[in-house]
Amino acid sequence: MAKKKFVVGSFKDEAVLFPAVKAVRKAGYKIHDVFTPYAVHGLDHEMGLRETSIHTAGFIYGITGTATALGGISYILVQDWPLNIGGKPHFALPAWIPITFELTVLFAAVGMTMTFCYLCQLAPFVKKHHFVLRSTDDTFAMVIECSGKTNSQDAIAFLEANGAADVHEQFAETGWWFGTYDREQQLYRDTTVDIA
Amino acid sequence: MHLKYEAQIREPLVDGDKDYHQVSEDICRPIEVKPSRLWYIGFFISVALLLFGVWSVYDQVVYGVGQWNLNKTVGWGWDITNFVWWIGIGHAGTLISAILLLFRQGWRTGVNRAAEAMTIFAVICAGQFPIWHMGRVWLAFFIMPYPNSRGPVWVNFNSPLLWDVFAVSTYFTVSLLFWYTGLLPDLALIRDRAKTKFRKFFYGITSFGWTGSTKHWQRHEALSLVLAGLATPLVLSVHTIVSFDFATSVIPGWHTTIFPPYFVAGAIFSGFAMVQTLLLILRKVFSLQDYITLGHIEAMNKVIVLTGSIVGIAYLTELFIAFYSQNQYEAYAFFYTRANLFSPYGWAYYGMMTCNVLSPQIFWFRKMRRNLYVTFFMSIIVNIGMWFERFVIIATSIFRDYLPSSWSIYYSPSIFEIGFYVGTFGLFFTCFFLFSKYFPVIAIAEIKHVLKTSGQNYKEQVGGIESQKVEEFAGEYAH
Amino acid sequence: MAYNRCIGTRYCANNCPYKVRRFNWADYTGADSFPDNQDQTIVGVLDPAVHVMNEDLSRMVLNPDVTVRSRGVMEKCSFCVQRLQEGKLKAKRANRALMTGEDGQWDLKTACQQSCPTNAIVFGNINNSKSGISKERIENTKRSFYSLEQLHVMPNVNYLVKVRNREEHEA
Repeated sequence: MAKKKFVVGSFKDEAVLFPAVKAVRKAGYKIHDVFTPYAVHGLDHEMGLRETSIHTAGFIYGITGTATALGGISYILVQDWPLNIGGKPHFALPAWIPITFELTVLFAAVGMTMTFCYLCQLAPFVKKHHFVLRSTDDTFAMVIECSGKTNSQDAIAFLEANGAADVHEQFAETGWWFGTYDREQQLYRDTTVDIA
Repeated sequence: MHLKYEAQIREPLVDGDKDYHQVSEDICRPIEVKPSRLWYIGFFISVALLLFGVWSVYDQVVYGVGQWNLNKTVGWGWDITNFVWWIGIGHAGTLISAILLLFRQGWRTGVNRAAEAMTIFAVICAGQFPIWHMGRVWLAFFIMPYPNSRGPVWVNFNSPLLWDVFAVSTYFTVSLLFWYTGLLPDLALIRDRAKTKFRKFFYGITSFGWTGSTKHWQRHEALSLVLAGLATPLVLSVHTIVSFDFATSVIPGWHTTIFPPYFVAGAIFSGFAMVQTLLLILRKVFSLQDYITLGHIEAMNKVIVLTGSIVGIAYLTELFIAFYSQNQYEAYAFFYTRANLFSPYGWAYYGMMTCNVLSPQIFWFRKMRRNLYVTFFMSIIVNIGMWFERFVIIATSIFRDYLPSSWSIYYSPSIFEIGFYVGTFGLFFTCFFLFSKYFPVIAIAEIKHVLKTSGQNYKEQVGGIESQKVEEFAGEYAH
Repeated sequence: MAYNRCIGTRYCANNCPYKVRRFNWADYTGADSFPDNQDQTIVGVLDPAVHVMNEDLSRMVLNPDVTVRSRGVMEKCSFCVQRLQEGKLKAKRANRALMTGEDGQWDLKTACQQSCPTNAIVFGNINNSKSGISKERIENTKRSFYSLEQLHVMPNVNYLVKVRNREEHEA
């Protein structure tokens, strides 16, 4: 991965951040991301992000769980080794409801969580770049990607005009890599890329 | 800004004029300082209790279940009583996190992290009992349905004990996932504030590289909501399945359809009591009174009086039906073995009734609900009462069941059973002490989420809204 | 009862309304896999009877046909399954069906039936309407009852009520 140029604006208040995001999008800048200390309601729509497909994934995993439970138990107790348990019929559906329900929930929960971690690229030993260290504490950080055509001075001024408490330029690598947070990462070759 | 506006008459959820940075400071401080003397004392006592438990269990596994005072009539005593007790305690955490999320109750944010941690540790403790109570623990894997070369021989899917296996493991897994995904942003905060190399390393790994990106928050919110939606029926179903261990049998006093709702209400009752015990200590020791306010304590006490009353009605219903059904065995179980001061276990039954039915009624009074000493004392009483409830159900029913020829001697625990129980307290508190030292006990990101609408200073600032016209308000706040 | 599969939860014994199931609370036979389980420094004082089966000579009192149950396993009356097996084999070798009371012939008798001085116990094949047990049940329908019948657990053991109105009967 190569380093790109970014203009990073820090905001102190959600109420200032919102119109700023609107204005920045209207002005045509490309927002790389907005980092917030908590989930800001409506910000994803403001940024134009599409809806998450994690709900659908969860549903599919749940259905898989139900099918696994019912299919597995039916096969075992009807086909493979039917037993006379208290004279109950071999296909004792009421007795299997608890397990079916539990497996549905289990598959849905585990599947969704793993999908969440996969989509957000989260795992132990994953390291990502901090644009603004205080973005997990009390600062809302808007990061604008600068292509070759972007005048970073203009962008800085624009953000300041829209209420940013602090704006600066950064050269950073995005994405993730394996590492730990106690050390700075060194790129093998320092390459800065100009996006045309 | 979202359209959420909370009325001025509601108490603030966060006292003390906090801003975001102050919230981070307050909650991270206990993690970032060295442990106090009190912490060390508590921790070492817990470890000592845990070691006592380990010795008790080791001795019992080597000699046999005969080290316990169980006999041919009373096959389950303290072992399964404690199992159900711990699982019941665990349910409150999930209820606070999941069900209150679905009901949009903002006050859950002050208490949910500690409550969920309590759930996870309680389920770990609960799980010890079904494992070690087995006669042949080394064959415990027989309970798992895996393809094998013995036929393949499978498990009995019609048995409530197997449903228990699935229910408890699912409950543990889902609670753990819910707790941990909620922790990720808070661990990232600690990582970003960390000064020492080791802390950066440790919290860097545990936070999975969380950055606070909006897309990630979007997915996180979606995941939290669905996990809450999944965990809610789990709270109801898991304890129902545990109650099925008894309800699906034929023993008088066990074979009753009231058990599922009775057990679930009882679980929430005892769980909230344990949450109160833990939180009252936590907020004092860590100076978190601004986050775990009297309003939070009061709300939890309301749940306690509600579920306690449900449990009380269930007891009275059981007694009535024992008479009304004219089933001689049921009537014997209730009127001779239980609600009878001259019965060997009559003291347990009356103790249970006093602790669970009479004493929580004190929380009908607002002054009592907001009194910390009363709350703490009551929380201990409720937990004792709920332990007796499980003991009464399990031991007294099998102690005097159908045929008098089956009846044998009075069951009381041996040192090994007591040691096992005490050991689980050790396990629970060891885990909880470690949790309170290394993890944030309050959900920081969620507190920040409600700060602007429910924090004390913001409530005062937005008070002017009530005099605004609707159009003005909507224009300013809608997006 | 499949001893091999039992993990010893004791749930079956709790559910038994007759409480006829017995649990092996400790290692009574020196048979199991824990080397220390008779070490008195770990498990406390043991009754000398526990050590009886540790010697090979004493173990010879055990019937080689009967499975020695290990510690932690539930057991109950097996209706003398090993005698049953022996009886079945005897019948098979003679190329005929198993006899449990048809025409007074018995290929096997359970231990309790064999030892009962008053012939109070009859064991047999209820699937065969001519067997001793079937005859007892058919001829004594008014006297025959099952313990705790209302529970519908369908036990295999039935009892015959004592006839009390003898004088009237004789008269």
